[in-house]
Amino acid sequence: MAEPENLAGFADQLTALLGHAKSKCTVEVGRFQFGKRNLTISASFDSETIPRRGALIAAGNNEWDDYPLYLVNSPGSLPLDWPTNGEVGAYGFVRDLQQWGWLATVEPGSGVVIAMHLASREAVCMGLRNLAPRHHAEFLRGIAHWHAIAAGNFLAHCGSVSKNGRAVLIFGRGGSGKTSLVLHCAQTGWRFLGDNVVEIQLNSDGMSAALVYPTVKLRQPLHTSALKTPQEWDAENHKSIHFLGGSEIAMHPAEMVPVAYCALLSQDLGTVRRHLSQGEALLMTGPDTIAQFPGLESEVLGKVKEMTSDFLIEFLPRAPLGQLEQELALAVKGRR
Amino acid sequence: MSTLESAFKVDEPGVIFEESDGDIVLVDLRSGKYYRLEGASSTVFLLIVSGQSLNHVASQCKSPDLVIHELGSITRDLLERQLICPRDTFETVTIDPWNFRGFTLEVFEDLQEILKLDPIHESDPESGWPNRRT
Repeated sequence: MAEPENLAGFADQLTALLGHAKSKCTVEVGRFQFGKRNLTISASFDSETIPRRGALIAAGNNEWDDYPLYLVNSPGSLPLDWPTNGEVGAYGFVRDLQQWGWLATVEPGSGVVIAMHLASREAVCMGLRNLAPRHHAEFLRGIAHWHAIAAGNFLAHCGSVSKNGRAVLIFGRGGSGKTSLVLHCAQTGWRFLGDNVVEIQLNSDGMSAALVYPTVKLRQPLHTSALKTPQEWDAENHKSIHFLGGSEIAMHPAEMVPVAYCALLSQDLGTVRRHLSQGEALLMTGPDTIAQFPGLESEVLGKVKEMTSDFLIEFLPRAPLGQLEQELALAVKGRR
Repeated sequence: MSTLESAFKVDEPGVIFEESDGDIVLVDLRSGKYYRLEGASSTVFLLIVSGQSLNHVASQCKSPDLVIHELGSITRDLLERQLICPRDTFETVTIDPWNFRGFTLEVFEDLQEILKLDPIHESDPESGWPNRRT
C-alpha cells in the first residue's frame, strides 16, 4: 500500500520539476493538434530527441484549448525520491498519485518520468532517450490519453475515415486489415482520421471522432503517389512508418467529426455480416483499447462500454477493399 | 472460515470488469488474460461477488442442494485464477430466488502480450510498442 508521505513528497518534487522545466525549456518545438486540443511543446535541448514534426499535426488557427508540454533531459539538481515498488502499478503508473493531483508513469532505473498536473494539465517528460521512429509521436501516448480522459473522452483502438462530414470507425485486432482499408479509403476521396488510434467524444447528440496521429504503419512501404511522403523503416517491427503530413491524403486538422457508422473487421467471426451484441462488441473492442491506457484501464473500459451500449457495431466479413469501401460509403449516406 | 461460509469480491484493481446487456467482460491486468461470461454465467458470477456467503447465495437458488457444490467449485476456480478474493465483511444485499443454468468462463489469451506490456517502459527502444524490449 502506498505511503502517503512518500507520494505527497513525490508530488511536491514533480511540482518542482515542472517549475524547473518551465524555466529551462527554451527550444520551441511547435504547437500541435492532439485529439481535440493543442499541445505546445518546448524542450530544454536541441537534438534528435525532439519529436519529428511529420509525426505530429501543426495546430493551425483553430481555437481549441492549448496546453504546454515540456521535454527535459535531466532534472540535474532535482533528484527524485521515486515511489517504492509497491506504489508503482502496471505500466509504471503511480495510481495513488492522482489524489495528489498528478498522473505519472515512472521508470526509476532509467530516471524517466512522464507526468501531467491534473488541474493545470501542464505536462513534463524527463529523461527520454533518443526516439525510435515509432516513438516520434507515440512517446506522447500517455500524455494524449490523459488529456483525453481529463476532457471526458478516450482514445479508441480503431481506424477512422470520413466523407461529407460523417465518420466511420473501423475496429479490429492487429492484422485484421484496419490500416489497409483506411488507406484505401484515404486514397479514394475520404478524409483520414487515423489507422490505429482515434479520440472519441460521447455526448447526448451522439459520438464524434478526432485525429490524433498523422501516421500509418505498414508491413511494406507503399510507393503510390498519395503516399510519397517521408517514411522510416522500422526494422525490428518490420513496418514502415509513413508520416502523412506532406502527402496528398486529406486529414481533418481541426474538428470533431460526427460518427455515422461503426464496423468491425475480423477473421474469426465467420462469413455472415451481422451486428454484434453489446457484450460481443465490448469483448471485441474493450481489451485492446484499454491496453493502450497506462493506469486508467477501468475508466476506459467504462467508456468503451458506454460506446458499445449506445452504438451498433457491424461485423464486415472479409471482402475486397473496394467492396468494403463501398459498404462504408453507403453507410455514411444512411442507405444501410 | 470455509469457502462456502465466505463472501467474495472482484480482485480489483488488478482485475477490472464491465457488464453489458447481460454479458460480463473481465480483464486481468496482471496476467493479460481476459474473460467473457454470457447470460446465465454472468448471473452466477454477480451472485458470487454480491457480498453474501455462498451458503446464502445457494439457499436462494431453487435447487440449493444441487447448486452448492457447483458454486464451491466455480468459486475455487475463480480464486485460483485470482479474479476474485475474499471479503472482510458481508454486504447487506437481497438476493432474489434464482435458477442455476450452468457456468462457462471463456478465456482469451490473444492480447496477453499487449495487455501486460508497459508501452512506455518495456517497449523496445528501437521498434517501439507493442514490441517488448529484448
